[in-house]
Amino acid sequence: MNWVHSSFLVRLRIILAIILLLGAALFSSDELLKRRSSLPQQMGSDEVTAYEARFAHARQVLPKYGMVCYVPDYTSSDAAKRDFFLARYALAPLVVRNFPDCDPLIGDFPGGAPAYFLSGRYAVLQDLGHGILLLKRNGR
Amino acid sequence: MVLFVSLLIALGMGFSTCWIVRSPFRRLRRELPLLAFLSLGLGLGASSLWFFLWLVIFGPHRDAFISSEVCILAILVVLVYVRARRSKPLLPQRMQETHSRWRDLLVAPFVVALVAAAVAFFRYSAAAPHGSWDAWGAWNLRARFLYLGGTHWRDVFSPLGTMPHRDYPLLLSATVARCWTYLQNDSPSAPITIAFLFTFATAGALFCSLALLRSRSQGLIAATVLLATPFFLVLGSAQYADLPLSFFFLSSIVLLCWHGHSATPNGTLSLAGAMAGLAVWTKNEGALFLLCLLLSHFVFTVHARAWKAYGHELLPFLTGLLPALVVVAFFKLHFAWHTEFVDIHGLFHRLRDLPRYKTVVSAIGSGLLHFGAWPLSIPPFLIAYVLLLGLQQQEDRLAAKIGLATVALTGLGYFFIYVTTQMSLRWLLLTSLARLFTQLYPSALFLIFFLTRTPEEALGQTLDG
Repeated sequence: MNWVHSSFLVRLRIILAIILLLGAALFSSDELLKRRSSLPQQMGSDEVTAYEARFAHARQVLPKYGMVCYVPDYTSSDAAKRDFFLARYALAPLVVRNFPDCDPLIGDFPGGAPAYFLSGRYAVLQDLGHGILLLKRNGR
Repeated sequence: MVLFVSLLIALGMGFSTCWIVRSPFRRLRRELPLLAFLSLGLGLGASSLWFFLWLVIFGPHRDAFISSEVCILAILVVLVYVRARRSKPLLPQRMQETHSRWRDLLVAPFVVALVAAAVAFFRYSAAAPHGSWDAWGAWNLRARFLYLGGTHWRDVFSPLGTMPHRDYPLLLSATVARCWTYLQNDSPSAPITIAFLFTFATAGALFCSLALLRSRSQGLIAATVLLATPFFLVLGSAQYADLPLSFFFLSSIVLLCWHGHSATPNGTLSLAGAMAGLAVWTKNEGALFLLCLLLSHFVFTVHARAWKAYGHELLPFLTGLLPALVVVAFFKLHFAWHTEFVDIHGLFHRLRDLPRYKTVVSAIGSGLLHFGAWPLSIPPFLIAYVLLLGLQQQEDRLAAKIGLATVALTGLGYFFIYVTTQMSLRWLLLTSLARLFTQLYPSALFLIFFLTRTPEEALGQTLDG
């Protein structure tokens, strides 16, 4: 059995181990480089930057600190959840509360505010553009 | 430029601390690269602690804060100078390192993996400069409160808003806010640079530690495998806290393994304690890691040596650990004592719920093979590598055993967090399992390559025989 431990076979074993491991690793590196081509090419074309631009006017109008309430309910859909989280980031350090129990409120409707939503419950204080409304609860 | 200065000050603080704690190592040139990578994490972590304390004690005063950091750095530099003058130069530790053809051959794949990783990192960062969901949804959001909040920075913990993860420690957010304080704006360049540093410092620490403790070829192979892990790069560029955490896990274990070889074992253990403390300051998982590390250290050291030896090792470790732990305790007691992942209500019911175990085991089994998002799963290749090269028979493998037990126990802790969580189990597994694997992955790679024979050893032993 000495041939199993011969210098040639040991060398072969080691080379095989290294080639297998590094070959598989470098295959991943190659995939990494290929994957990048599917990403947006321009810096600043991401949704967070876009959302910050959407909320630029709102940030000027709203107080810098304190709390603002937010509608619609972020638990209503995945898209609403994403919109809420992005709005919260764009408006920081303002605390954004996901309950319509304070004034003023930010109405965030990227697709436009549905008519039924505003009827009776809220008064529009200001249209901040890009589907963002500054609201006040009616009867308060 | 200002960002570079802020990072340089942090690096300077980290490096000076390492020098003071581990001095003297004037002639141990081979240690310097590893110390540089460790100093980076230590400096960023320590400066984040100071930033938080500054906010609590003095409030947001930019110029005074920067002056305080410059003063701290100046004091540390003076201490380094005094220490360096008093210490006698030591001869380098004798560790086998001969010029090896293996090393030359392995440089090429390492460079390819490094370049591919850097290109991928910058492409991902350019595509999402604010990071991924949890970055702008939690980490950078909190950083904005700390920096832009002025005297209202405590609003980040307000129960009135829907603030995420209020119980999470602040290392990453405070590091980002600190850099923004220097920059005087909340540019995404700061979190991107911090993410880059932690990602590549993790790979750098892995390479340098194995190069120092085993061989350069071993370090090159391990670092190539890590840098060629797609999810490692994705997570790094996502600006999440998981990679800083993995850096501190790796650093703690590396320093534990290093202390047996070190000329100043107590200093090395203090640094290991400091790194474990910063892990606790990074994420709640860090507290679990620390407990597992202390438990493993206790069991193996008492068993292999004696109570007295255990006491001698524990003391410097706790000395390094204490500063971060005191700040975390203060933070938890005053701002965030509640954790959202474990709820005592229904805990015992969930512990007896066998289908939950089955779900978690199944997810872990599958996740173990695919968490890295590799086109070809790497773990089977790693196993084949270990089998083909064999394990090394080093005299003292105690530290490696402690490291292995720590990683295994931390993994077991994660398992039971999944089993007992009151959150939706499938959602939690889907959104976090790969990240938890990645937290432990660099440490696991280090231990695998630490315990496996190097190519030179595998060849040399047979030729000798």
